[in-house]
Amino acid sequence: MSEDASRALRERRNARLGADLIIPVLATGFTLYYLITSSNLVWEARANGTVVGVTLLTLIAIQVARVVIQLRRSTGSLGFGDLGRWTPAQAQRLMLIATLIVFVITIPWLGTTLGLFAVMLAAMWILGVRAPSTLLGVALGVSTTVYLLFIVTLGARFPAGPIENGLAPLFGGGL
Amino acid sequence: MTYSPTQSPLVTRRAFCGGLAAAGMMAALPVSRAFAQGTYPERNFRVIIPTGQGGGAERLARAFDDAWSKLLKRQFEYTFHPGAAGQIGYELFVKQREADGHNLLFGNMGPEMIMYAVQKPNYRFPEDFIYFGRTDIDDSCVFVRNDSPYKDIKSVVEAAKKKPLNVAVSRIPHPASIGMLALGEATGSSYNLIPYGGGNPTYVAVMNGEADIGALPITGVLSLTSQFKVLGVFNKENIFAGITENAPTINSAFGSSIPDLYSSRAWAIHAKWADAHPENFALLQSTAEQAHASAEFRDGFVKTGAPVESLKFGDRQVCTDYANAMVELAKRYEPVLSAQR
Amino acid sequence: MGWDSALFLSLFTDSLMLIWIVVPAVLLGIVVGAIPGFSAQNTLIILLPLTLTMDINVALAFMVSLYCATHLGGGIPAILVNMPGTGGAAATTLDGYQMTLKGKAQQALVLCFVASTVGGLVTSLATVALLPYLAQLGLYLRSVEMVAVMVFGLVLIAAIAADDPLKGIIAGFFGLMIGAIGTDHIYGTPRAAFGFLELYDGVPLVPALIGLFAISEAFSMMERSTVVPRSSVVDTKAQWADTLDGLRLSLKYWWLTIWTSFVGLVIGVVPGAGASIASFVAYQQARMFSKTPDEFGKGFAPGVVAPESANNGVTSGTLVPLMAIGVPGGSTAAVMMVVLQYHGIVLGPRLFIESPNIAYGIFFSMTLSYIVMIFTILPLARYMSQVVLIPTRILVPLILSLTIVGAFANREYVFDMGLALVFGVIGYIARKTNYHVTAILIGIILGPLFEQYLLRSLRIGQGDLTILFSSTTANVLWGFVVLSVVLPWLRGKQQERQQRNLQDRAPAALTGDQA
Repeated sequence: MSEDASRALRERRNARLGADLIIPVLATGFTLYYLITSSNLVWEARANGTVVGVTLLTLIAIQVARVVIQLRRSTGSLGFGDLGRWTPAQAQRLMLIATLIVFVITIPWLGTTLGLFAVMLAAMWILGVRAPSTLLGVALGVSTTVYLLFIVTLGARFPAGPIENGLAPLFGGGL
Repeated sequence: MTYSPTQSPLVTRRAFCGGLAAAGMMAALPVSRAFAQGTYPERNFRVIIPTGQGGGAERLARAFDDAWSKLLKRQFEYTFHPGAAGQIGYELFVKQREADGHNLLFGNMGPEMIMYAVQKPNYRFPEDFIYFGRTDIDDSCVFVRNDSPYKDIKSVVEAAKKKPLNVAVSRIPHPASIGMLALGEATGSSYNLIPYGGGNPTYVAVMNGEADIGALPITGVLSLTSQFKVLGVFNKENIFAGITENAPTINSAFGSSIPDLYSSRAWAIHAKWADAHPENFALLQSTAEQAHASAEFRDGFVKTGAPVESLKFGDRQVCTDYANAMVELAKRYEPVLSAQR
Repeated sequence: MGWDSALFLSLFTDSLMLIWIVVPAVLLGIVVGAIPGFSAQNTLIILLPLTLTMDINVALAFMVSLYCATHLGGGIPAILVNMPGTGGAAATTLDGYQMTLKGKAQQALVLCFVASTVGGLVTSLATVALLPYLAQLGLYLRSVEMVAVMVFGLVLIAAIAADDPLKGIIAGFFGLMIGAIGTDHIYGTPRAAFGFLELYDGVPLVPALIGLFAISEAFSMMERSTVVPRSSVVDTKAQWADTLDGLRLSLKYWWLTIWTSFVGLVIGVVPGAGASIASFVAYQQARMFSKTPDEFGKGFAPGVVAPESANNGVTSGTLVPLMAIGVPGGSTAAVMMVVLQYHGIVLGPRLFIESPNIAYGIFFSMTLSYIVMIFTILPLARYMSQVVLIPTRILVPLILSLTIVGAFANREYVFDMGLALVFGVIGYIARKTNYHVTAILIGIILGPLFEQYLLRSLRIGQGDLTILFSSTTANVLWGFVVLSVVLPWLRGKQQERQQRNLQDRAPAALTGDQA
């Protein structure tokens, strides 16, 4: 048996059942929150949520039972597979998420154009782009296009910052 | 966009040939912002409409601002925040819009004050905002489609005494809905209210026979006279008797004493700003009154197919009294208007 | 309102005069349609001050062309990067992106363009011919019938997650649960909104769409250097040939294109439904009537044709109730109504007698816009398909930043940008663990509508559940629902039997050989 094939078999045997339970755990948490917070409403306001919620909990119970059976048969583990493994791609992904969170938080102050410029720069850097011309060129291109097409031409009311406010007397647009 | 629809001539091919970028250039036209620093209003108005676009509120607001913008020399820009019976728009207005006199709300006082009384949202009236420019009085009415088996309001009530009639309404917390509940109380008939979440879907429900009858503000119904017939009006008199085949008032038909139930749309502004800037507020209110009286507004309003008789201006005091009366009314019917047990 | 050839011919030639406004509107529509977050509706609202200044015929041609073009544009990113530009294109990702991964991006684009334009063209002409009947149709599909239509969509949840049905159904119900956030449809009381005002009106579709598809896909895509390995595209150097191949496939599925466009038209006529439902229902129907249902979801051409054709069939449908009875069928039609009324046009049956140039003209403008669209977009397919060769280290930042800004555009809440990110993370986990993101999305789209129609029906029935089976139309639809569940099951059984027979025969043959 080749090394690849034996690894594949090992991985199947160690099905990452922990990862399989993330969505059910999220769904259960939310369903319970829904059922508890809507318990004081008249039936029409909670009928749909209750029927869907109870069905969902039942389905999840079946899924959990399936996982338990697989664990008993030792055909899986409670590991998280790729999701829990620390790989360079995983690190990049987490850094991207962090960058996007900062982008969303700061956009009311930075404004759309500057925010886009910064987030493009940071995201490309995280993914390994190092050539200054690419970094600046793409970031500038994207933010300028969005500014001219959406904010100036279409007048979309995107969050305004120093650039939008500064250029408003010249171009107007959505402010 | 910061230019007035009425200031530019009709767009022709020649005007358009500069390409779509022309729109951008036009957006930059009113550089007048630079000239008027310090005098109110300093810039364009941003208006929240707490219902969806394309509804009665938008049509009325746009017709009104054609006249008003000329008096104030500023334009009006709208954003629509429907949902939760208007609660979203109001909360946004009170909490997130700056109280600087340039942020307005154009709402439907009747249903939205009933919502306020029932849902108890996180803002206070009249501490946080006030209404100051009522545009119309839109009586609630009972209507059917033209080929309905119900020919008059009495036949409706007779049928509803035998079995509950399905009534299409816009929302449960609405003056017209309260009217139906009050009619049931007064005559021993019963009505099963079905909310459709807006005027347009309510019309469709009556048209396709899904509901037996409908209860809504009258002006929208009158703009669809080819489809509908008005059977009764919840007010002291039917000012549209001429165009509703003399539909009676509900109270005159049954000798009941149901309060006048009408919707009234009005402009609202932050109370804090109005009290801190009495002169500016007075300017806003007086220009609203002038705009209301102008032929331009009335012509624009008639174009939407609505009858001009419903236009009646009301100032801050009139609006406050009406809004408070609606809150009182809603409290009386709270158990049937709310989902809370 | 009957067929009048002379009138219609003159109206069509009149609409040709408006080509100068149709072309820029189509181009703008394709661009905004392709960017998630922007839609015809919010673009038209933004441009309202401009359209109000236009002559009414020009304004209508502009709005209609832009509207139709957005419905086509939404399919482009759905096919190329698994990121539907509009809700109506969400179903296109199922097979469109799979085609891209197989190196057939260009064919998929051509299929999408031809299905969209032909579907749109056929239905706009059909609308002119059948307007009185279509207007009536809207009155036959009431809440009860719409409950059945919604169930069609829900059936699809089980169908698309065939490899692990339990996970698929859990994903679908999770979506339905998320769709139950927001105020209830009877009293307007908020439920499970986590105290966020922005969720009172339910979970907004655009951030959910962006998060579940675009952001989560971008997070997966970054592990590859390009969307599609260069090698698989370089193999097919003769690029016009791919366009022609796409055209050949489009011709092959001409009948599917036509009948699914009518699915879109009919659903479009019903107020409140819309393109996202129409495209999922069309996909489900196409799969049900297909001889090879198992091919769907694996990069099968009909899986692109059906949703795209229905998606554009909706465009003329939504205008029917607006023009014929004066009630807008959807949010874009509502914006058009504002413009029409601003010009003092009284909508309703009389409009067709008093101003046929406007009443019918709008559909001829639509016809023209579809003709313009096919000629402008088709030659671009070969260039667009090159997007899949952009290095992901540039494409991923581009998708992430543009779609998050797009999430803002629809409702203008910064909250929606954060929400898109949350859905992005949920979507990424779901993808990695094989919980179908499309199933979650179908739940989010259908959940609120299903609840609304069901509760309304129950109220109308005054507690009597048999109301759901009280009309002939509804019962016919329920029959179809049952068929769409039973047919695939029967087919599966049959295949199983055939396979068993083959297996039974095989050892016998083997022994025969030995003997």
